[in-house]
Amino acid sequence: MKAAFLFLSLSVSILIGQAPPPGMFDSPSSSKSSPAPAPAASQPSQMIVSPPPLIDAQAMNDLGDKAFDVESDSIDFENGSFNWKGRSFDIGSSRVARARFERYLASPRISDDDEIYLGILQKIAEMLSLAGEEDMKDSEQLNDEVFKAWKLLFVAGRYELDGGASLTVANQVYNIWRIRDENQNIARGKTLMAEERKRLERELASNSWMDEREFNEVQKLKAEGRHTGEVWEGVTDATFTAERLAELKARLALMETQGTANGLQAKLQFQSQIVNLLLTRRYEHCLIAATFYRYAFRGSHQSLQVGLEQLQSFIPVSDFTPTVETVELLAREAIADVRVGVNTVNSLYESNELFAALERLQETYFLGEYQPEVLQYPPDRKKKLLQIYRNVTEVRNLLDLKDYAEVEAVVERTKEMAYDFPASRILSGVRSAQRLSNLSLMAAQQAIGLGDFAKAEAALARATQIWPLNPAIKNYTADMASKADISSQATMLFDEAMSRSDYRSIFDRRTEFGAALMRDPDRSALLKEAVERVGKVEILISQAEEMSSQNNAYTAWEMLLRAAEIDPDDPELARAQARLAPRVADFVSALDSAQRAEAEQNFAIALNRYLAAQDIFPASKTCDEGISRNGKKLMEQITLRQMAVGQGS
Amino acid sequence: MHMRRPSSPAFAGYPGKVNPVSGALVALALAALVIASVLFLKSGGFSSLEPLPALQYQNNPTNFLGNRYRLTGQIHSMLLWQEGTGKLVAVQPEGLDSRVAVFVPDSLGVSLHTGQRYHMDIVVREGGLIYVEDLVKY
Repeated sequence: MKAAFLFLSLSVSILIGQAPPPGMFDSPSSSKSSPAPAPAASQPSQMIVSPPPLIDAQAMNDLGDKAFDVESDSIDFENGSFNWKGRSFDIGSSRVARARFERYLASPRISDDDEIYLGILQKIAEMLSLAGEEDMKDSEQLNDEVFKAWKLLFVAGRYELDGGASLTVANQVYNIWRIRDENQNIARGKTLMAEERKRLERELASNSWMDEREFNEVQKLKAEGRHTGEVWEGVTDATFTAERLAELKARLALMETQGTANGLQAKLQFQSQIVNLLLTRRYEHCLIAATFYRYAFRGSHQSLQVGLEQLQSFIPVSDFTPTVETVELLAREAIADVRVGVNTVNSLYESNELFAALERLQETYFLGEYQPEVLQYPPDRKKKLLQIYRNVTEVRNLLDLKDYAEVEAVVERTKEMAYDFPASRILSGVRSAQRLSNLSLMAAQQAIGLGDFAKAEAALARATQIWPLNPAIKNYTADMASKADISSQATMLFDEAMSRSDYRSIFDRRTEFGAALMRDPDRSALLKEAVERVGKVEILISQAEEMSSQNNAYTAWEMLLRAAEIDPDDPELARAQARLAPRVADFVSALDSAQRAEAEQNFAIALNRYLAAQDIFPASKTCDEGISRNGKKLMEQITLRQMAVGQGS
Repeated sequence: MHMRRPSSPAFAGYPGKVNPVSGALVALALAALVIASVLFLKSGGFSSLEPLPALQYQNNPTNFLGNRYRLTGQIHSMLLWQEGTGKLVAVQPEGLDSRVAVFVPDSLGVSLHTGQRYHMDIVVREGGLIYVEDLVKY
C-alpha cells in the first residue's frame, strides 16, 4: 500500500482557473425537466478522525515505537493522524476515532437496509458507467441512465449509512442543471436582444442617411438663396434609437457576465464537493460525483480550481495540476487498497496472527470505513479481534498508570489470545522500569542507613515516579513506619532504664536499642557506655564462676567485688554473690564490717577489720586497698592531733 | 580457705625443781634468772599491765577506749609511716592468728622490723586505735 498516491501527489498542487463560457453546459439531461431541489445535505465533515494508536502512552513512547511499526501505513502515534502511502489523513481526536473503531469491532452484521443501500450505490455506479451490459452505451441511453442515477441518489440518501453524501452529490448535480437552464434562458434572451440591436442599428443608419440628404438639400437651397441654412437641432427619432441601442448593448454585456459567473460558481462548488468526498473517504460518492462532473463539464474544465489547500495538506507535492480525473483515480486506488487490506486481514486471521490482523484491520478501517468490504467484515472475527483490542487498550491505560504488575498480567493474557502480540518487547520495557524503580528504592534505603534523608527522599520519589504501585515501596514505607514506631518505643524504654540505672536490661536489649537508637548519637553513646559497663561485670562474673569452680572462692568473691564496683545494682552480680556468699561468709562478714566502719569514718576499726579480713584471705586486693586507704586516714588524723597537741603545748 | 599463720612460740617455762647433784649448774641457772629479772625490771615493768584481750578488742575496739594494756606480739608488717608522726604496723598478738593495727610514734625512736617480738605498753585511744607508749623487744 505504498505506491498509488505518488502520482496523485504529483498532480494535485497547482490549480489553474478557467471560467466556463456561457452556455457551455452540455449535460445529457438537458432535455429533461429539472427535478425539484433535494434538501441540502449536510456537509460531510472533513476527514478528521484522529487515529487511535493501539499503544500511545507518553511514558512508554519508545516502547510503543518498538511494539508497533510506526513506519508502516498505519496510525501516527504522535499526531493522531492516519497515514496512507506516505500521506496523512486527519481523522479527528484519537479518543473519538478509537471509540469509532471499537464500535465498529463490536457492531453486528450489517442490516438488510445497509445491504440494499450498498446495492443502490453499486447500481448508480453502473448507470453512470459508459459501458453497458453488452456494449458501450449510446448517447441517448447514457443520458437516460445518468438521469436515473441522479434520481437514485435521493433514494440512497434516505439510508442512515449514507450520512447524506448522496443528497449532497444530487444537489450539486441539480445546481449545475439549474444554472445550465438559467444560462440557456440567458442565451435565448441574448439572441433576441442581438436581433433588436441589429434592427436599431439599421434604423439608426437609415435615420442617418435621411439626415444627410436633408442637410445637403438645405445647403443647396441656401446657395440659391431660398433658405437661411439653419437646421433643426432638437430631439429626433435617431436620438431615441441611439439611446435604445446603447442600453441594449449594456444589457447584453450584463447577461454575458451573469452567465459566466453562474457557470464558474457551479463548477467550483462541484469541484469542492468532489474533493471533500475524497477527503472524507466517501470514495464511492467521490467517483459518482466525478462522473456527474465529467458529464456536466467539458474536458477543458477538468482542472481543479478549489480544494487546493486541502489537497496540498493531503499530498504536499507541487508543480502538478490536479484534475477531477486525478481525484477519481485516487478514490479508485483507495478502494483497491481497502480490498487488499481486507484480504490481508483475512489472511492474517486465518494464519492465527490475530494481533497483526487487528493492526491491518484498523488501518483498513480508517482508510475505507464506508467501503462495503469493511462494513461486511464477518462479525465473529471482529468480536475476537475486539477482545484483543480491548486488552491492548487496557495495556495502554495501565502503562499510562504505570501499573506494571497488572500490565504483565494483561500482556500474558493477550499473548495467549494472539501469539504474535509483541509481549516480550512490552515486558522488557516494563521490567526495565521495575528494575529502575527497585534500584532507586535500594538507593533510598542506603541513604537512610547513612542518615542522608534528603537523598533518601529524592531516591524514594524517583522510585515512586517510575513505578508508583511498586509493592516494594509499600513494604518499605510500612517497614519504615514500623521502625519509626519501634524506635520511639525503644527510646522511651531506654530512657526509662537509664533513669533507673538498670544497665542490665539495657545490656539484654542492646541489639534492639542499637538499631533503634542508631540515629541518636547522644543515646547511642549512653548505650555504648551501659553495654560496656555490664560487659565488664559479665566478664568478672564469668571469671568468678571459673575461680569458684576451681575452689578459689575468695578469689571469686574478690572478682565479684570488682564487678560490684562497676555496677553494684546488677541483678546478675547479686545472684552470683548470693551463690558464692555461703562459702566465704567469714570473709564477707569481715569485709562488710570493715566497709561499714569506714563508711562511719571509724578508720581505726575499719583498719583492724580489713586486717582481720586479710587474715582470712591474705591475697585480697580489697583488703589491701582498704588497709591502705584507712591507714592514710588514720595517719592524717594522728598528725592533725599531734599538731593540735603541739600547738596547745 | 583459711590461711592460718603458724603459732608463735610460747615463752619457755622454768624447771620445777633443783637437782642436788648438779649444784653448779643450778647456781648458774639462778644467776641467769637473776640477770633476766633485772633486765625485765629495767624494761619498764610491763608485767604490771593487763594483757590486751585481743579478741574482744577486735570485736569492738570502742569498748576499750582509754584503757592501757600490755601487748605482747610480733611485728607482722609495716602498714604506713608518716615522718615525724609515726608508724602504723600490724602486730600479731601472742597466742592469736589475727592481727591488730598499732601506732608507734616516732618519738619512741625505735626501729621496727617485721618478725620482731615486743612487749608493748599500749593505750586504746580515740577511734579505738592502739597507741604504743613504750615497747621492749624480746
